[in-house]
Amino acid sequence: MLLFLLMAQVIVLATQIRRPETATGESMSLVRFWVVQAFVPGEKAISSFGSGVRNLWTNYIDLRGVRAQNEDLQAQLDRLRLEQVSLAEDAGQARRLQALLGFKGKFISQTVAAQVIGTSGTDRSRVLYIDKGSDDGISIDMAVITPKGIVGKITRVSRHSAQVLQINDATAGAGVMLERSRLRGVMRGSSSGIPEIMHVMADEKIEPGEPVVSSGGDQIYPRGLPIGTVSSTSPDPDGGPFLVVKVKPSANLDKVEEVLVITKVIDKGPQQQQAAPALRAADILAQRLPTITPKPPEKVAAEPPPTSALYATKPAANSEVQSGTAGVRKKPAEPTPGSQSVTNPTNSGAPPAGEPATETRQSASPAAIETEPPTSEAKKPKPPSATEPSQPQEIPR
Amino acid sequence: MATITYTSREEIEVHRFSALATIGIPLLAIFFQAYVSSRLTFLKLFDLPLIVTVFFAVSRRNQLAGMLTGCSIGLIQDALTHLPIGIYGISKTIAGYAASSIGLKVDVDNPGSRFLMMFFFTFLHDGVYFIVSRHLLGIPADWRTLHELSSALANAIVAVPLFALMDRAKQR
Repeated sequence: MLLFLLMAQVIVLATQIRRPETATGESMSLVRFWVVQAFVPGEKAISSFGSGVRNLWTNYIDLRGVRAQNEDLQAQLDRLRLEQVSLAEDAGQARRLQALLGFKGKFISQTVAAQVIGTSGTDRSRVLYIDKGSDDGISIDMAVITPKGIVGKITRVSRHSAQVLQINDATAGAGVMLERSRLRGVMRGSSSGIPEIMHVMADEKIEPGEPVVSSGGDQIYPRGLPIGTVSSTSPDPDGGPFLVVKVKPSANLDKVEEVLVITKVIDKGPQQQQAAPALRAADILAQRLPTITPKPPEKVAAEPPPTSALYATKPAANSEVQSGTAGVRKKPAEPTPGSQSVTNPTNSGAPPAGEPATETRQSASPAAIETEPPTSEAKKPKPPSATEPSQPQEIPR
Repeated sequence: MATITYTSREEIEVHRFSALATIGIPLLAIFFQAYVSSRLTFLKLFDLPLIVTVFFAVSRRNQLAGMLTGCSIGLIQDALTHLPIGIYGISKTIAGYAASSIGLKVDVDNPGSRFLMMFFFTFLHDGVYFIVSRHLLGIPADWRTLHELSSALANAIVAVPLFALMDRAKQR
């Protein structure tokens, strides 16, 4: 009885006490922490031993048919290259349209690969344990994916392991969108492990097999990641006005071995993406345009230097403001395309010897020409002063 | 020499377990369930920790020991899930108590009775789990009769050889 009382009190204490996780700021109950810390090392050890044996077998012993497979893959690669060309065209067009509409998207910029080392052991709680934790940059609510589709999100993190809640768990949810009909909704897991899209009106036309992707509305899963396909639609058994839309997950959630944790997602506008190709196009155009015959050197020496050259003598603070445009203006004047990516205005001083300033302007791309101030202004530059801080910023625009 | 941790009721049969078996077998069952079921998904149908709970409970024939065993195993299982700690704890405490109570009256060494017992206790355990999670905590959960029946059947089938295997850990 004494043992029972003591143990009960220890359990109650351990359940109440929460152990703060320093890296993430989240806390975990002491009981959970103890159990996870006790089980994870063993699971990791067995998992790495298993992968070692598997790698030995697959990489060194079981290599039959690799040559034939290699040939098949080569043929497949050739075919995919051809497809890539047409897809690149489509992607470019989509980017241009997005730029026109001013869209902003979320892009995955960093992921961490992790190996699944265990589960909860029951289908009442569909969670996985992975071998990466806060020391590897993992934190709560990060999306976990495989190349086939979304797996789930991080729910608990310790230093060397993390818990992933699968999207088909009854307590999980995700913002989704049907790819063809563009219908948005919320997908919830279920006890049976088959996710369902909630609150879809019965008059919506949804075909089985329609791909389901993440909508990005939940702020966890980036937009456009594959989730699965519609497996069936049926009327609400309770007679409600909604459809029961069941989804078959793309990723094989029952046999996940390796996953990617999205550790960094960036907001990126299409204008930023377009900036680099536009510069390259301008450079190419500048090279192809006919050049004007260089003027005699003595005449060039008499001419005032271009405005960019004058601003380069200003303090660094002012120079940084016009860094982008100064680079654009100077690029066509550089002798080789490879040395044109000079964006530091402190380097954009006087034009190279023997190259007049007028040539710089004429050989530039149309965009660069628009940003160039009129020649009269260039000939009468005012010296920089503290009272006129905005003048250099206005010129490029 | 192994340390003796518990004794059963002397009037019927005295079953003792070493400290290694008392701690090691439940931990091994939980570890096996958590690790191997990530590779072999069908293992999630079984509940090895429940089988171990029932085995220790009926072997010791002590209700307090049965409760404590069930409580400890259940709490460890809870800690591996993402749900509140205590759902498995309560379910397995009740299962442990019931199993040890039955162990006082029924011949628990017979394979047939072990099969039926395990079938019944799995159903009881799952029922308590459902009630606690759904009605006490409001966690979304459905009672899937067919699934629970298959789970109970699977546990009952596996329990017979596993009980025989664990019988070797008994000390008289």
